Amino acid sequence: MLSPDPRVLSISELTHRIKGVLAEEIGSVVVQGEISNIKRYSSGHTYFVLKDERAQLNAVLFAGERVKLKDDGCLKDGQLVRAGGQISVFEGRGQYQIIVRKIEGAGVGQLLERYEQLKKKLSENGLFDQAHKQPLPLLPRRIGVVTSPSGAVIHDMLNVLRRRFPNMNVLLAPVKVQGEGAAESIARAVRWLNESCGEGSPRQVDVIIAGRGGGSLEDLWAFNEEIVARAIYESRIPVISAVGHEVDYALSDFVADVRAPTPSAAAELVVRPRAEFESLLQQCADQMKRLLLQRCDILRHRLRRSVYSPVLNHPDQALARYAQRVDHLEMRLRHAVRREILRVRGRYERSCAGFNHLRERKIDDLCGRLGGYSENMQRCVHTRCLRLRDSVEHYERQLLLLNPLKILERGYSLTRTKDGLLVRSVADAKPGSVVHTMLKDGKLISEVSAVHTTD
Amino acid sequence: MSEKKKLSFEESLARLDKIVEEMESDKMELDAMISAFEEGQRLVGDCNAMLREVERKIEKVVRDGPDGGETVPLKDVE
Repeated sequence: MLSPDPRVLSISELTHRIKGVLAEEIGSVVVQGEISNIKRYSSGHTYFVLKDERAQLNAVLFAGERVKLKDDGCLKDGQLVRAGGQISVFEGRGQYQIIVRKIEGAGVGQLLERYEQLKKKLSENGLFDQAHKQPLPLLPRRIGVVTSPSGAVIHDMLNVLRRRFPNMNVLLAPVKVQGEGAAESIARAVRWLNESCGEGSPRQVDVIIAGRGGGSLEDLWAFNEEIVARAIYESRIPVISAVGHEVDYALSDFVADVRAPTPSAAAELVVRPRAEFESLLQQCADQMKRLLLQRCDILRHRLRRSVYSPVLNHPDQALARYAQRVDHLEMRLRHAVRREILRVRGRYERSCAGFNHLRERKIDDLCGRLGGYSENMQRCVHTRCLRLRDSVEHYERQLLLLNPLKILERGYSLTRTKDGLLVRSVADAKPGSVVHTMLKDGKLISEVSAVHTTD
Repeated sequence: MSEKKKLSFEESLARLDKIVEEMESDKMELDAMISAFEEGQRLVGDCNAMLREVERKIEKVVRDGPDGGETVPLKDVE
């Protein structure tokens, strides 16, 4: 059991000391954070929580301070604020808190910085590429509107649409356009319209207008959130961004297919007035009718010209003219033919003369050459003859020398049997047979009386 | 020209433009011109019908579940 000890503090004493430490060590501060859980009591005091990503701080703005504020518009959930005051302890609950004396929408500078960073990032990711932009339909069957269901915006838009196109279909996707969860709500609505009202759906939405009325940068912030930009970028239905503001563009304006400066302006440009379409169609119809009638007029005129033309009405005259023309042509043809004949004949005659001359020269030439040949030949034949004659004489002499009868002149004789066989040996003639003996000047016919053989 | 598929409003307008242009060109035979004219008249009729067939339905999405949604007529702004 703990004995009474001067070091033991009562809760009040401890809390008091903490309060003192905080007041001394920290005291007056300016903090920045986002407001959440804001509550205003009937006493006029306002309680809220200031937070950032990792921590939170209770805050109180007493009624007396609040009335001194120039602008308490920033006292809203989700608002980024800069609050100046005293760090203190609310002893009754053992909580430390800031007693706010000054508060303002802090964000502008910081928001602008975030805006620029995100703009750069989305631009680099290609979300603003012109190539990705879709054309708006000429005549949407249904216009999807993503905005707050309360307030003037939807009312004004419907008024504009009713004026321009009295029977236009509109489907409102009600969303929160500012504060916590606004961006998510807008993105969800755009996606929902794509999923549930796409091509072929009975409530097909052909174009979406996403927007809100004017406000401060903080008010419009939802339209600068990446989640909204992505939903618009991914939308297969063309999106018109319509955030009412004067100066800068919201990021949704860059990523949307078309930007309108206000929701009413978006309603103006989402569809042309029906009357305009009707007059365009009327013009087309009139123009077509005019062109057709004009063509008919031209054809009728041509027909009339044909009907009254001299050819059809006085065909003989026309024929006479043609006949004359034929005659003329015939004459020209005749002249032409005659000229041609003369020309050809002249050429022929000139050619003949030339040819004859050439022929005569050629014949003379041939004769001369033939004469030459003939002399040569005669000479050749003559020589040849002489040579032949010499040969013949030579052979003759040879023959004379070799003639066996020549030998008879020298006293020899030739004996043959009566059958003509030459008797070379005594055996060739039998005694009693007849032999013929050839002498130089005749022949002896004798009978062999005896045969003697030489030893 | 007989189109089996019904042309959209945009396609019809584009076709009308083309028809008028062709009729203006002076190269069309009368027969072709008459059929072009007839087609054009039909298209004008179709387009006018499309302009009128929109039923002026002003509706609002109501969400029942996290991703559910149906539409009801939007009365408070009419």
